Amino acid sequence: MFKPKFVSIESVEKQTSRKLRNLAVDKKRAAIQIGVIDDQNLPARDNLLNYGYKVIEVGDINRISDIQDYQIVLCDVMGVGMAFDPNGQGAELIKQIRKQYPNIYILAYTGNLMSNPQAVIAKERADSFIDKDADLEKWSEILDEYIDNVLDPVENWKRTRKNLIEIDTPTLEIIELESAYAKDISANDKSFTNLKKRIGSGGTSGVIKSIIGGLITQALLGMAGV
Amino acid sequence: MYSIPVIKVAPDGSASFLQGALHPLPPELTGPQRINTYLQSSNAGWSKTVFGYESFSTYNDRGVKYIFPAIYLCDGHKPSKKFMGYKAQFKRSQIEYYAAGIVRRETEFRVGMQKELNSFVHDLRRLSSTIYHQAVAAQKVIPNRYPQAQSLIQSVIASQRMLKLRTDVLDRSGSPIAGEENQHIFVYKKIDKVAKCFKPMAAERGINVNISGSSHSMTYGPDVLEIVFYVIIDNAVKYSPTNGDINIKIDETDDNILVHIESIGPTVEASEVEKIFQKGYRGVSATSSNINGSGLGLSLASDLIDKFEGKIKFSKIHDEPSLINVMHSKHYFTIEVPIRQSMPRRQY
Repeated sequence: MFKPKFVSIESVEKQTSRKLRNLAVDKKRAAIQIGVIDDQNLPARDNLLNYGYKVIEVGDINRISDIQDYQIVLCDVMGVGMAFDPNGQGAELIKQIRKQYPNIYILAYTGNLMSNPQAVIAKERADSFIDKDADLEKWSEILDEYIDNVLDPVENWKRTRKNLIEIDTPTLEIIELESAYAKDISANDKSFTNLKKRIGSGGTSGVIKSIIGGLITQALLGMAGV
Repeated sequence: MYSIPVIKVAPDGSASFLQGALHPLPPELTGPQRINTYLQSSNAGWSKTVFGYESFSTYNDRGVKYIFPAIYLCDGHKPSKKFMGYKAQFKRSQIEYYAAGIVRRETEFRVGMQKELNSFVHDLRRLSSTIYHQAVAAQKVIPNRYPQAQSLIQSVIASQRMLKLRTDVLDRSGSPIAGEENQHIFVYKKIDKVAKCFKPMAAERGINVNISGSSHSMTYGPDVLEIVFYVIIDNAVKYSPTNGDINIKIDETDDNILVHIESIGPTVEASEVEKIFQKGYRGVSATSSNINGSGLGLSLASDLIDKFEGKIKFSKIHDEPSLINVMHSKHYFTIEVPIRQSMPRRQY
């Protein structure tokens, strides 16, 4: 019988989305750490904590690595990123986080005019955007969507694939990585044997290894069944 | 107010003539036909115009054109026809200096105002957010056996929601969809939310905001549909006579979601129906009702509905007897947006 050489991510999509649907919302919310970059208190913080989100205020940051442990970052547009670019502020910070931690989901928020140049750039760079005065329904709608994304191994791979394409990774290498990842997800292999074997087989650059390392960390959250 | 006459031409081609306060153009050089001739000068710099007078044109950073028309220059061409009291008073360099000053000052003023507005909206959203979250927190700590307190908190939340929507209208008036991401939107949820915001304020004037019908479908577009409903219901509440009803009905056809909003308001004449969605237009009866309005809301609503490939229509049912010296009629706004149900996975 014909056995395809490569397995595509679509082959595990049904299995993973069913698993994700069955997870309780409160467990999902409690599993994901959300870092808030803001020079002031986030007015929504206490209510979001009451809703079960793991929201942690980190203030303005001086090093991008300060947010490496968060899967989702809420980033204000104004008054932050002063250590990097006082003009670009939040928009510059988002650019730097995206560059160093491409797996982290960044949700920008602001009270500024929508036409404000910094807000426009931040919107383009972030994964999503929230008005500072949005109601809790809106906050939780967006946060739940991105928590699902963090916990969804297929979504994670698609995002990783986009990052790999952006750094000009050869197509064959992407297909091989996808295949190895899909096999591991399908087998619920928390050691990621196939994927680790593929990146350890030589010829894989340090940048790609780092991106795949981030992918494994996030995929493990979803596989843990929170 | 300008010392010498100026024609300002917006990038969309709309022009306004402003007569000089100190050195006006003679009437023979200001009629509509003449103004039209001045508008023909397309390039920046000097050009010859009617009777050999000269015009100077310059642009600001936003593409607004300033035309200083039919100037009688001391160091320019001699005009073929002269007019009583209109003398050569300026040199080219003086006009150029004056024009540059106007453009610079107006740009500085605009930038300054924009900064102020940005800072104002920022503070407004921050305060509004604090009010909302504190009210929600209070709602949790006050036991349900105090219904009056709960009801007061609901009013605070409804008022904050209105404040947010009003801020959104102000924000989007300058730039309707700056970077707005398209998404699937439950129309019923949006209209219901806006109607609930208005209920406490409307009730104070004995106005009932009723909602009926059903819709379970989604449309697709920027998350600004609430602004459209806000603008129409805000007008309906504002112009409705005391004890009038505002009836909202939502239903669906095979392809579209329809929202009908019925209210009583100052009569819109048949000749005005087409104009009410134009920027800055206010109906004669609305203007004479002495209720504040800018004429910008419906134009914004119409622009936003275009982003959904939807339609917004206005119709008048019949005239009501004159109330408070202003003729009133029953108004119908119908908002139609296409059904877009599918929820595809995010595309990378």
